[in-house]
Amino acid sequence: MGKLGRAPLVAICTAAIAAVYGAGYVATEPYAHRVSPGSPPAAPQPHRGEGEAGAASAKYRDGVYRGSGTDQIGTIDVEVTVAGGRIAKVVITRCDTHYPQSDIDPALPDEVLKAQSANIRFVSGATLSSFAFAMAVQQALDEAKNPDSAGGGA
Amino acid sequence: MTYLRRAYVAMDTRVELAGWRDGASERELVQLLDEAAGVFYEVEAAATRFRPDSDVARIAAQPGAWVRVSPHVAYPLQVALWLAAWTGGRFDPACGHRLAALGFDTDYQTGQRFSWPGGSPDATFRDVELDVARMVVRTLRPLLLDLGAVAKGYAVDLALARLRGAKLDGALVNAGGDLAAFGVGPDGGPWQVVVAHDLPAFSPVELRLSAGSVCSSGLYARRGPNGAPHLWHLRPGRAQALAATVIAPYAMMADGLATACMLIEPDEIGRLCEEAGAEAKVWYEDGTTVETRGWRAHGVA
Repeated sequence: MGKLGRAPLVAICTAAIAAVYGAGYVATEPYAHRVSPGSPPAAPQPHRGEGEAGAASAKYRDGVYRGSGTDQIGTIDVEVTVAGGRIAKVVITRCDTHYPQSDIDPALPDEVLKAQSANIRFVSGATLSSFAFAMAVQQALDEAKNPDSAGGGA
Repeated sequence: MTYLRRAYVAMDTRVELAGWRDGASERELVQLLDEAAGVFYEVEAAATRFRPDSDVARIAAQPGAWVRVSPHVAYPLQVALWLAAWTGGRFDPACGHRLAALGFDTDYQTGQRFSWPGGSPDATFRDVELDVARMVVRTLRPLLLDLGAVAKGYAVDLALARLRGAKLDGALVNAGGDLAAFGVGPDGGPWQVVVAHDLPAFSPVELRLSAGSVCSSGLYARRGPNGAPHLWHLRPGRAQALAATVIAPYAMMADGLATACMLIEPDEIGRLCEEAGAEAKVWYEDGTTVETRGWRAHGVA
């Protein structure tokens, strides 16, 4: 695709959000559950079990599971909700860390003190990938593992 | 006035949603925020390159074939291809297999590794065909896409659209430093956002945001097991960009532009951002910075 004739980036984004939000993808089930009218011209691809949410072979059992993880910046607890065999939500329930990383920034402890305003500032900065939450989520998912599932990948 | 701020883990980062509405109950807000956060898991399931059942992995498994994909892959890919075309491939979503080879191959949720050794070493975005109308993708050579620079921002936009649809008076969604907001903050003024990069002697920049997005990218943030940075195509022999922050109407734009701005020449940043409709600031390893003309209109300090 050449530079000329390309749609402006803003237009692409506007159309995308309108299409997805308008189509109800945001509010309804994942696309895999939908019947697609015009299928692609290529040979039909196998749908390897996607959309078989809730089936006995699902990787994880539905429920709410807890996990905890620690790394050099502290400890976090999470609560993982599995619905239809898929991860539907991972809420941070406790966060004894200086997390996000920007909390370590000297500018921000003051923020906590002068936070009479409810409008505590939000931080934009590239965040470190935290071992703490990966560990916490993995621990919860170990609990959630379905013994009937083949386990591992697809 | 009921104001709530809740944190989640999704897309290998900390995701925070905040919102408020006069007369709402706390329970109602918890439900609204949880539902909006669900978008991140939907986008992640389709767009991740770390799981064999994602759309991205299915595309990789069928080079040459048109593969039907979720809108959660098609739209982020469309933005990524726009940026790839503009930058002549310096920004390139066709780099997933190369990133995996550098050690960025582990799913943070399960700890399982997923790499794509069959990827063509010289595959580029020019080997990717996208038909948005039919929601299909075809790769001309074997490759693993990486939508990491755009998909998170796209999920931020969708989650925010959902909160807007729920008629909140104001809301902000922050996915590991890529954020977007609408309305006013709970104190009736614009949302306060601090740009904080982990660089020596960096002074945080405060921004006021009432609509739109601020996204940041930093070379300091993610390193592979061998210390390799997560950006492909660094600028050999030139002052390296260490961090970038972009202000744009949508997070899916700002997210991708923040990465793209680190990969192009300093004198191209103004033109890219003008064409895209964004403002940016980039920090370089030699201590210099580049900012677009409108950047200061947003900055307070």
